[in-house]
Amino acid sequence: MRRARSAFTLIELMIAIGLGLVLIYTAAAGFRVAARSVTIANHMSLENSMLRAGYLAAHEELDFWTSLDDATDITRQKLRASGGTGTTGGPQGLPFTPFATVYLRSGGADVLADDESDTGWDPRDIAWSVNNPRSWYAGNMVEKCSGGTSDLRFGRYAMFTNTKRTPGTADFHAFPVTFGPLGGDGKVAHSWYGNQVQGLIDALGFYGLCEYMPANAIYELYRPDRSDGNDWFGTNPGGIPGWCNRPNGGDDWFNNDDGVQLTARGKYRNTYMTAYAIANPDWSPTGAPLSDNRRKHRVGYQNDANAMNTFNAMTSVPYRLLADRPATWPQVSVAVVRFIKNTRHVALCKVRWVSPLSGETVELSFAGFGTSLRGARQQRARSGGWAEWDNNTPNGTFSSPPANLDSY
Amino acid sequence: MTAPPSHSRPLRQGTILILVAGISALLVALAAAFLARMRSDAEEMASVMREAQARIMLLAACNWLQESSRIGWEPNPVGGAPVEHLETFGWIDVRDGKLGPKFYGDNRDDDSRFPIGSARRFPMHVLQRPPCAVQLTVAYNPIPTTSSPNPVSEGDARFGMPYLTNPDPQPVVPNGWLASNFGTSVNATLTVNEPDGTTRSNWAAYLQGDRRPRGNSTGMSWFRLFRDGPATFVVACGGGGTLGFRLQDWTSSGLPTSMTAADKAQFGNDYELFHNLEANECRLFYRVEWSGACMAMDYHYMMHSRGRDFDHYCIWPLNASSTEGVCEYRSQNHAKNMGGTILWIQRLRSEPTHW
Repeated sequence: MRRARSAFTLIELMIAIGLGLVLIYTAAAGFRVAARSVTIANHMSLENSMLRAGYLAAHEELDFWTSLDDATDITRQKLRASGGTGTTGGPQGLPFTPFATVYLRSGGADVLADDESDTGWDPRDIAWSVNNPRSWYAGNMVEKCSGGTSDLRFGRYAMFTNTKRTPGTADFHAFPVTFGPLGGDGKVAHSWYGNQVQGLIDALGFYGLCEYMPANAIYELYRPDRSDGNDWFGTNPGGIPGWCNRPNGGDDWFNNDDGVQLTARGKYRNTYMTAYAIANPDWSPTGAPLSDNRRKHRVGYQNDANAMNTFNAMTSVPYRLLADRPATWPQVSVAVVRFIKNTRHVALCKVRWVSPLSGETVELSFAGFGTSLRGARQQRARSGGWAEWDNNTPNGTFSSPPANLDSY
Repeated sequence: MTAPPSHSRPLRQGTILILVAGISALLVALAAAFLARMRSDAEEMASVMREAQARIMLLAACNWLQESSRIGWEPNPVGGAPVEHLETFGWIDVRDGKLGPKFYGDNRDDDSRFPIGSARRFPMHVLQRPPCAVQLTVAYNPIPTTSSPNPVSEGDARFGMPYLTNPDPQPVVPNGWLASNFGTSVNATLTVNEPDGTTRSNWAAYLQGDRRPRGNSTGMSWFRLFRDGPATFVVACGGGGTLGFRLQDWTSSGLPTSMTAADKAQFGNDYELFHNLEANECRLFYRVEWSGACMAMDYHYMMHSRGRDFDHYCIWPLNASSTEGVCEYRSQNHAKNMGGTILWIQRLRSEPTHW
């Protein structure tokens, strides 16, 4: 009688161990692949989450302009100026400058809305009512100034509108254009338009001027208080400030170089091969971004990639979505670049993330549509913080908003 | 004699079973985690989509404000017979500065088409066929000669002339303007059947379109306007399924904004459903101001186009009345938009009381 075996043979053990190893290896490999898949899926999910967060953050920035001016952090309000006045204290030229701190009204005091004597922007002037001749550009745009010393630019434009309208004053006496049919004396019909143009560029810079002026504005005016200096503050012999009519000037002249002509221009031609932008408040090494916001950028068909790179660097204010993050998380930064090109007010949103594992950099860029500069200024209380708006009056129209950067 | 029962076989089978079950459970757990992650991502993506839909509505609202300020208002736009489309002159009338939009001859302060202090709701969806819809096919307009498919004699006025005898672009619905109508009056006054079968009803169908919504495009987005001044509006932008109704519109009665029975029927008369839709909706609030000013009024010196191939100069039509000398041709101004412009846009930080 054979005794029943109570153990495996060596052969059985070897086969079993071999098969077991194959089984364990297969299971381990499967597990490793599955784990790796989950890790990759988690990582991609994390990147997608960060991308979504970046997308939403870009839209928040699009609507609230916080990277350019933080209503609740006084250290991040470098695009506001205070003190002085636009026309007598020198240009401020920063887009978040409160009007109340820079403008003198007529005679230094507030006056009624729609007054021709206004020397600065008045938010009560509704919509630049286009039926009102006060808001019309009165020059003849097709009459070109030949030579550069003529006093008759764009027709006898100054008969109808300039920054002074009262005969007999010192300013008026100095006015260079004789009135011809009017016998050398007369009352200029309108002074409002020119004062708005000059006041806005003084207060807010190039981008701000274009934002506040209506779309069909011509960026041209006469000033009888000419200086013949042909510099930023002065005028040419015709009484036209150099900033708005000197095409061969540097980047700090508003008029662009297209055609090299002494012509009155609107937004399209002034931004035809150049652009106006709101500059990164921290770009200027001197901490004085005035010149950055009162300049044009040469980013047209005649310019190269270096010009674009400089433009991007000057105008982009990227901020990191998560200042403190795990080392394995992607680094995401968000920026909204605001500029005017070919009349278009562009808000270019950029969401960029860098993989901590591969170093790969990806950027999602898209043009957004949201709060404009004027809207952003109305969001900010003059006394600090946000100016909350509501229409909680019983008749459902609107309540008086808190004083904001546009208020007097 | 039979062999004694083996102890090792059931043990080994059990071991394998445990191994397989364990690995399977592990894989199932991994798969479940993966699917849960994907579902979570999809839900987050849905919220981003709602946000994007709401933001598109801001653009739609601004476009509506611009177009309706000038293009005009039809008295009976839905279902009624086509009527003359009267032009208007702006939310603030560009002629007299009074309230609008109003038609020619109306010199009152007239905001009756959209009174200040009132709201309008605009659920957005894709129409089955928009009014005056055209198709993306090439319009065939051969120059007729004596040997062309439809030959004409040399004395014919059409001989060798590139007349637009077939509409370009082609209408989706035949609108009565076809080659057979050449030389005849072709417009909405067609009263007889044309030889090609075009009738006045065709014209009406072309003009009106098919305004029924496409099913897969409904309940996704809407905007709502509240006129709070002559040209200022609160714009509520929504990404979600409430069609622009508010919770208080369901519960209130007798107000201009109260939901009717037909309105509630769109939600199956189910308040909980409506409440749920409202809670999951993305809503953004803005204020905007319209201006009657059109786009930039620049002009170009046409002389720059001489000998150049800059096509951007070619887009400027010549202003023949303003030449200063040889080659000093000027273009007409560069006004692109006759519907006015939006002066400013302000995102509101919180929901306003009235919208």
